[in-house]
Amino acid sequence: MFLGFLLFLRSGGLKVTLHDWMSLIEGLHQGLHGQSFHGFYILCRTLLVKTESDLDKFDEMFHRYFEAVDPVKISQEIRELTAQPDVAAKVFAGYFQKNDMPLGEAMLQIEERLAETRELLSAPVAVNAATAFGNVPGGTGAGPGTGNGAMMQGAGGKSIVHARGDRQFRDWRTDCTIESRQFQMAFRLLRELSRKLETSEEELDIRGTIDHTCRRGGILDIRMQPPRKNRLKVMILIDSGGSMRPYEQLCSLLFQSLHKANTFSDLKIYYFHNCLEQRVYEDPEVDPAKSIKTDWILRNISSEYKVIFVGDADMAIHELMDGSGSSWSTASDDGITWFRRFREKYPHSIWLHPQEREQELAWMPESFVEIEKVFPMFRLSIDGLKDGMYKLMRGN
Amino acid sequence: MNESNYQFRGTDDYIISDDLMLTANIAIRMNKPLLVKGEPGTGKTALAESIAKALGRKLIVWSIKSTTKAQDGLYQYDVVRRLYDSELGNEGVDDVSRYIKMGKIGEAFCADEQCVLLIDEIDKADLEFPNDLLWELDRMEFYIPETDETIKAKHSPIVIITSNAEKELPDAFLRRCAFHFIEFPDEKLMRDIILAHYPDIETELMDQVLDAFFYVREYFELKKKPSTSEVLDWIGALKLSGIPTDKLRSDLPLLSFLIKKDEDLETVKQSTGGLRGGLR
Repeated sequence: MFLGFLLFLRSGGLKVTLHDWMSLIEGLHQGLHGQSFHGFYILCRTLLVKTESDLDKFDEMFHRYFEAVDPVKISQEIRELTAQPDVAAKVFAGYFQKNDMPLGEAMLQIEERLAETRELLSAPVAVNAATAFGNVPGGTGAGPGTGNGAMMQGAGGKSIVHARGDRQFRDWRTDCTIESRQFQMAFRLLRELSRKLETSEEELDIRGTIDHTCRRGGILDIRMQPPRKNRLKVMILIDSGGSMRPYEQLCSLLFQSLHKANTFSDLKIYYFHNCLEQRVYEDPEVDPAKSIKTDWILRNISSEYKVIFVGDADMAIHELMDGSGSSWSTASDDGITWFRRFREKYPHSIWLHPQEREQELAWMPESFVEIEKVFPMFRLSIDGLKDGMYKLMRGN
Repeated sequence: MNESNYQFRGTDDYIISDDLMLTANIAIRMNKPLLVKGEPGTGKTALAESIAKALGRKLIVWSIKSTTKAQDGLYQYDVVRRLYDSELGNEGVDDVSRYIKMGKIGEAFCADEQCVLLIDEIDKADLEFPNDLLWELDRMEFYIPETDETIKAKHSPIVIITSNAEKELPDAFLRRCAFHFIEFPDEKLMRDIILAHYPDIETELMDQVLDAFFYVREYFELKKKPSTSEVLDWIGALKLSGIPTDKLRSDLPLLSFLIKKDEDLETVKQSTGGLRGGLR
């Protein structure tokens, strides 16, 4: 039953397993959907969706799949059936027998139920228009409520409309840009990965020692185990100022959550202005007094550091490709050479860009395309960050 | 809707959205652990308490901490005490079962009637933690090698698991759960919730509080937005203090009950200083 829906969900990227599906069928069999469309929606959501980031996708796909369910057509078919009692009797024979119910009454019930469904299905059209006025977000606090409430009532209880038309779970999608809480979540990934690092160090395994000592009847049996420390060293280079202004808050969030994560054995943060030059800066104000030579970093900071560049990679092409365009210094090397040197020295390096990626690479700034040839680039979103972290751990 | 499917309908002091009620009942009927996520303070933990109360079952709470291991929930084998006992020659050392102490899951499995097991904030623990519980929650049994004994649940407990989404949970684990995300309640539901906790609250205070609350929640860019539990605390504090309630929104008295982060307090104070009255 509904196998097409399963395949549709899977093709849309929702990881619905056969096991989930069996649960759903079992639930339907038990009548847990309560014979209503909304109940069916909740049942599907409960059993098939496993994380809030998939809720929006699910809502959208559910809507798309069942949009085509045309209650008018169905009720027409039913009406045709009522006109031909013998055919209907054949089709529903089992049901009538089980419920011991005369045909006419059954038809009435079906019609009733259909009317209910029709109301639900046709509601979104009316409501979407209405919410556009009713839902003006509560800048002054009084927003949600009255207008919406009334609309929902009309739709026979709020949820079906809410869930299908409004796509209320949009915020939880992981492919949009990060917010504070989610940011920290993403960084835990890095911690997770860093646990897997190999190390030859060992520390006393107290539990194991006691256990084994007891097993040997009190003769001391020392056990060792690898420590669970994070051995990860990270260097971050952030583009500051200029075209990065709009993403300032995002970068500040990144900065904070990095500090909060506090699990790296070493964390170095430098800033550059627009394009990598001879010097990098120690704070976001890009004050030349507080700068160090880029060369110094390359010579002194070991290649075991994981390097993350953060920037929109949007710079004048002459800035990147020939040294004369540098904004602060009289450089002899162009930006791309610096980037390449970093890439050579630090095999574990990625670039995070805050802006959305255009569908066609060619629509992105020219400099973006050039830099992508040097670094693997990821968007600064939860999904992007995650992919980036995996890349960072794996290297090439 | 089939009445018998509706075991759980919320309790007097726990107002529940229809969606969550359906979900909870589906999970109970299908014998699946119910994984509840949502903003802090939207009543994830309270859900389990309410289910236990409504169904008249015993509630067993297992609060997870960052150091909690899956093993702790099953049983603990007190090796050290046994070692001491053997050194001192105490009686019963050879009886291993004396040193086996059931954890919360073990307790729930051994209970004589069905109970509600709340695994609170599962995401606090190590990343491998949920995986270590897969078998136990799936089969409702575990094995104690020390005594060569298999503990099997007499009555499968109703398992409620809460998560604050600090860590992602492994797919294999999620596959076995029913899932619900508690949305932030809208104004109407919020009214019902407040009424459930303060049945004698004056309409005036209620209106003022809700007005101020949604204003704070939506107008400011806060790191930790106030939620249901905060607003309940706030009302409690307001009632106790006897502060006049007619200017709640512009004055925002006792704000620290509503907003817990210093930075957020600063944000609100700075803005309200300049904007007072202007937005009414």
